[in-house]
Amino acid sequence: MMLRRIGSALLAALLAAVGAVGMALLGTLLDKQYEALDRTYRDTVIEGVITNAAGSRRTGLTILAGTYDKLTKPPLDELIRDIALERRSNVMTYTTLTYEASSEEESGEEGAAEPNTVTDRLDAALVGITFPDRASELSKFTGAAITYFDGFDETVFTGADDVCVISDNLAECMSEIKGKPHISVFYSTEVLKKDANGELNWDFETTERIIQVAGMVSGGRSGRLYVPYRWLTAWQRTVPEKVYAESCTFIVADNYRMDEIRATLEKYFVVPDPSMSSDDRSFGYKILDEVFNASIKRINDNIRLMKALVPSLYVAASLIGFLVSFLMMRTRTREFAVMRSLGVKHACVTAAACFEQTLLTLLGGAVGAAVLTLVGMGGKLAAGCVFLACYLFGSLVSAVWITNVNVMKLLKSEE
Amino acid sequence: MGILDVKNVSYEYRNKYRTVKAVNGIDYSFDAGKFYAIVGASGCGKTTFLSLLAGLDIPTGGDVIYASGSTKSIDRDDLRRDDVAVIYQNFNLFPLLTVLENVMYPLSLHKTPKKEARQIAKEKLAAVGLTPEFHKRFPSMLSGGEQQRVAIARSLAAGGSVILADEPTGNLDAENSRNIIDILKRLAHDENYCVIVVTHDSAVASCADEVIKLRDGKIE
Repeated sequence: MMLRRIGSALLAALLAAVGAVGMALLGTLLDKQYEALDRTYRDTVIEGVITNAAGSRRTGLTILAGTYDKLTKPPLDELIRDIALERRSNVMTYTTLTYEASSEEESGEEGAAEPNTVTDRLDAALVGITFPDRASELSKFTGAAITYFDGFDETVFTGADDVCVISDNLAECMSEIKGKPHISVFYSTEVLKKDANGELNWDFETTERIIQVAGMVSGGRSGRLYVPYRWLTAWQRTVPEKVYAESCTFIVADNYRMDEIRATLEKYFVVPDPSMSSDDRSFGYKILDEVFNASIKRINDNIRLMKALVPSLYVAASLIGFLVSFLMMRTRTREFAVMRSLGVKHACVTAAACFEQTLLTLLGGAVGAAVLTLVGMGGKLAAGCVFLACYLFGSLVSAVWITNVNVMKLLKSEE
Repeated sequence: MGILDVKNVSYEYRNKYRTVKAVNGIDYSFDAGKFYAIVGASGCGKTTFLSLLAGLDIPTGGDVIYASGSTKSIDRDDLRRDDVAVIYQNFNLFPLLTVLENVMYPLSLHKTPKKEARQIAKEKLAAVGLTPEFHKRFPSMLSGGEQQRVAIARSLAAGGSVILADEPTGNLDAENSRNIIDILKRLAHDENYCVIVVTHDSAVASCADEVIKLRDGKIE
C-alpha cells in the first residue's frame, strides 16, 4: 500500500541514489588528492645547496674534502644524490704561510756570503689586490698604513711581480732580517683531482713561490700577505688539474624522508644564519623546498578538508534520510492510526514503515551502484554504502517516530 | 451482564497546565442486537467515551469489560481486530487501496487466504448495497455515502460483535444519512450486532433503541 505512492517513493530512492553517488565521488576526489600528494612527493626534484654559515653559496666558499665525503658517504649518500660541484677557477682552501726570510745582505764576515734566514711557519691569508683600488682593509679609512721599503711604492700592485706587503705581525718575525727580505710562500691546497677512472678525489698539493717583501702594513688586519692580484691569479692558473668547488648542489633522493635528511644534514652543517660572521668557516645547507612545501601544504589542506567533510556528510545523510522519510510519512499518520484502530499492532505498523524505507533506500542504492558502475567507479561502492546506511538510519528513526501516533487524537471526529 | 459493560469509567486528559475530566464515572451495560445512540453537546465526552469502548486507550478510572476481559488487561489490538469495529465520521478508508482491498484488509490481519478474503469482502460489500462495479474503484471516486458503506463493510469483514460509530452521518446528506442508519439498524436487529453510535443528529438518535445522554462526562 505504501509503495503505491510512486512519486514520493521514487523521490526518496532518487535522493538516496544521488547521495550515494555523491559520497562515492567524494571518495574518488579524496583518492585523487592522495595520488597527487604521492606524485608530488615522488616526482618533485628538490635541490639542496651547501652554503657558508651566513647562507651565501658563493662568497669564497670552497668545499673541503671532508665536506665532500660527508655528502658522498653514509648516511647521506642514500638520502641525497647527484652532488654537483661547480668548477670555476683555482682557489685555495686555505693557505699556510711557511716562510724563510732571508736577505741578500751578507752577514759581514769575509768569505762566502751566508744567507741570513729566519724560518718560521705562520698561517696567513693571501690576498690579491690591485692598485689603486686596494683591499678595503688597506684603505686609509680603516687606519691601515703601508710602509714601503726602499725601491717600492703602491705601483707594485699594478703589475704581476713577485712582491708582497705583509701585516706587521708577520713583519715582527723578520725583524732580524736586514736589507730586502724575501719570503718563501708555500701553498698547501686541498684540491679535487680526477683519478684514472675519472673520479674526483681530494688531494694535498704544496707549491712554493719566493716573493720579495716590498713593505709592511700596520693598523690593518693581522696575518695578511698582500700580493698583486694579477700575480696571484697567474699563479693559481698554473696549478694543474685543480678543481675548485665554490658551490655544491645536490638533489634530495627521497622527498618522503625530508625530515630524516634535514636531521642528518644538521649533524654536519649549520642552518644558515645571516647574522653569522663571514669569517665563520662553518658550512651551512639549504634545501630549496619552499615551492614543494607550498604544494604539499595545499594538497594536505584539501585532504584535511575533504576528510572533515566526510563525517559531516554522513550526519547530513542521516538528517536527509530523516527529513525525506518524515515528509513522506507525515501525511499518512491518519492511515497509521486507522491501521491501529483496525487492530494492527504498533510494532507491525512501525515494521511496515521501516520495511518501506529500507526498500526505498536499497532501491536508491541499487540505482546508485548502477550509475557508479556505468561511470567506472564501481570500486567506490563502499563509501556509497556507508552513506546509504546513514540515510537509512535517519529514515528509520523517522519511521519509528511518525508511527508512534496518538490514535484517539487523530481519529477523533470533528464536532 | 451485557456484551459490553462499563463500570464507573473515568478518563482525564492531562497536560502541564491543567487536567480535564472528559469522562466522569459512567456505568452502563450494552447488549447485543441493540442500536444505541450516545448524544450530548460538543465537548461532553462522547467521542472519548467511544474511544474507551473501542480500546483505543484505557480509562484512568473504572473498567471497560468485554467478554474476553477488561480493556486494562487484554490485548486491545486483538480486541479491535477480532471483536470491535469502529466507523468514523471521515470514513478513514485507505486512499491507495481499492474498495475491495479496503474491505479485505482486516481479513489479511486474520491471515485469511486471499481467495477466501476476496469472497468475504464481496459479500460484505453486497450486504451494504455496493455492487461489483464499485470493487475496483478507489475511495476518491466514491461519494460520501458510498465511502461510509465501504467503511461499514470493512468493519463487518473483520467479524466481531460490536460496531462503534463516531458521527457516521456527520459528513453525509440526509438521504445518505438515512441509508447508513438503516444499515446500522439492520446490523443490530437482524445480525445481532451491538451498535453504538455517537451522534449530534437527533434524527439518528430517534432511530436508536436506547439513547444515552451525556453531559460533562456523565450520563444525564
